[in-house]
Amino acid sequence: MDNQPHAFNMLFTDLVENILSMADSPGRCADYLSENLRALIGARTVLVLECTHFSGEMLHEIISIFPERRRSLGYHEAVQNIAEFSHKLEHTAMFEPHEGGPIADALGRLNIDSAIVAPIKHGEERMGVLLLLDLLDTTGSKTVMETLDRLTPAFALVLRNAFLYNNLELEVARRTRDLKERTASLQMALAEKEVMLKEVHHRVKNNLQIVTSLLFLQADSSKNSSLREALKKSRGRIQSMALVHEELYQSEDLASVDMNEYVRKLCADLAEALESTVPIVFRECALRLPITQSIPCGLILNELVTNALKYAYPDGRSGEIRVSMLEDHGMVRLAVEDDGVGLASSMKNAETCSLGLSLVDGLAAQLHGQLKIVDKSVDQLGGYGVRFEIDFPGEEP
Amino acid sequence: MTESRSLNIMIVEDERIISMMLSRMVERLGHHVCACVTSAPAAIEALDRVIPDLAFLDINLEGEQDGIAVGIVLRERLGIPFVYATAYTDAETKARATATAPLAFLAKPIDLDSIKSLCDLVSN
Repeated sequence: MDNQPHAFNMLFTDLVENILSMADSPGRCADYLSENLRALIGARTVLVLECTHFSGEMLHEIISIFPERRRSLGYHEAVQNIAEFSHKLEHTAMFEPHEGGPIADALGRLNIDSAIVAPIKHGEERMGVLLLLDLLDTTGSKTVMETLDRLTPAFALVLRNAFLYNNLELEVARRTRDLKERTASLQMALAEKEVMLKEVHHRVKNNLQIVTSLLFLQADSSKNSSLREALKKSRGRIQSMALVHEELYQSEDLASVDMNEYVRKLCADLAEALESTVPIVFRECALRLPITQSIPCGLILNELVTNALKYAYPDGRSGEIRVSMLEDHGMVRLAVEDDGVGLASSMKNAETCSLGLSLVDGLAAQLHGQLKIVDKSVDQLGGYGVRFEIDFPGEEP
Repeated sequence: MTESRSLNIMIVEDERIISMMLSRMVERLGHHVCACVTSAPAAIEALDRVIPDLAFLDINLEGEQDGIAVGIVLRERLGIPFVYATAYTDAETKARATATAPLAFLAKPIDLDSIKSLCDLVSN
């Protein structure tokens, strides 16, 4: 007789261990429990019910019944009544119909002779109830009840764990959905913004074009040749800005300009506008600059290349103009070089180009750059012409 | 080479200042602007009255029809050469415009030289 509690304890330890090992699946865990308890204790039917709250109403849902063929029994209203009344029980208890009381009455309605009702509690919280119906042998039921009181908290933990986890999963799913919705609406807003930005660049470019047209019309209606010349220069400057906006709204990021493309186009436009046959050699570069830097660069190039085209090669003198824009460790070097008559000789035009040079000076300062002018004819370097160099820190577009 | 003859030019452009500039440029080259309108229906209507030698068409015009509608009429009904003077357009528009077989696409800003070479091409 001394052996029995010991054997039971062994079995009990096994049960707890196995329950915990199946903690990730409460359904499987309950099935294991109902099947094994039925065999161990000897009952016709074992039911595991989980207490759930749905819109404020308490329900007991069958999570396991053994044997499965008696499932219909679980749907009987009396089973729900027993489960509800089990909330009043502090410990596992045995009931028989003749004893009277709500649980006994319910057993009577079910035609059941005896039953063990084991509340499944986590602390004071009711997680469910375990029902052993129609006991085959009621001797030793005290030990059985004590054991069940020790066993059910382990299963309560499994249920609670699953409940929390399930809630967590639901919460994660809800938040994921929210995030997706928000991302979608943000993407839409971004797309709208891009369209608008593109439209703005387009408008800016169109407006600059109108400005240049106005200058053309003004020049065209003037008989004063120096005024016409001045207006033409202004037109060129504005066109170099319009070209930046054209490159901008064709760029993917709508914020930076491909300088290779820009300088190539600008040089071609300038040669065409001045009807020059002096070749402009542009060294290809892979450089993008933000609008804040591409506008001053464009204006500087406009001045320097225009100057070179106009004054470096007078009287059909031959030569070329070399333009480059190179980047090294974040420093950009913009250079315009000719092998023409040199600054001193072309300075005869000092009055006409003084604005141009002071613009270059000012814009180089705006770029936080250094302007270097090398007059090769003065420095007696054996060469001719002028080299303008501006080194400035390039900004990440 | 004989002296190039004076052409009758049609301008379809809804930006008035740009069409004014275009008119001036054309006139300075010794040609005549026979019609200067701002919309596609106005252009198509004008084509009942005048027969230009060359037309400059902006693609994005006020109203529902764009310059391509005028291009189609010029090409298919009248066989008159025309040029699209336009800023950047999307690929789909560009493809539609190309399908009408224009003489050229004139990039904005419009300059006198390209106008001159196009007029020379037509007049010779």
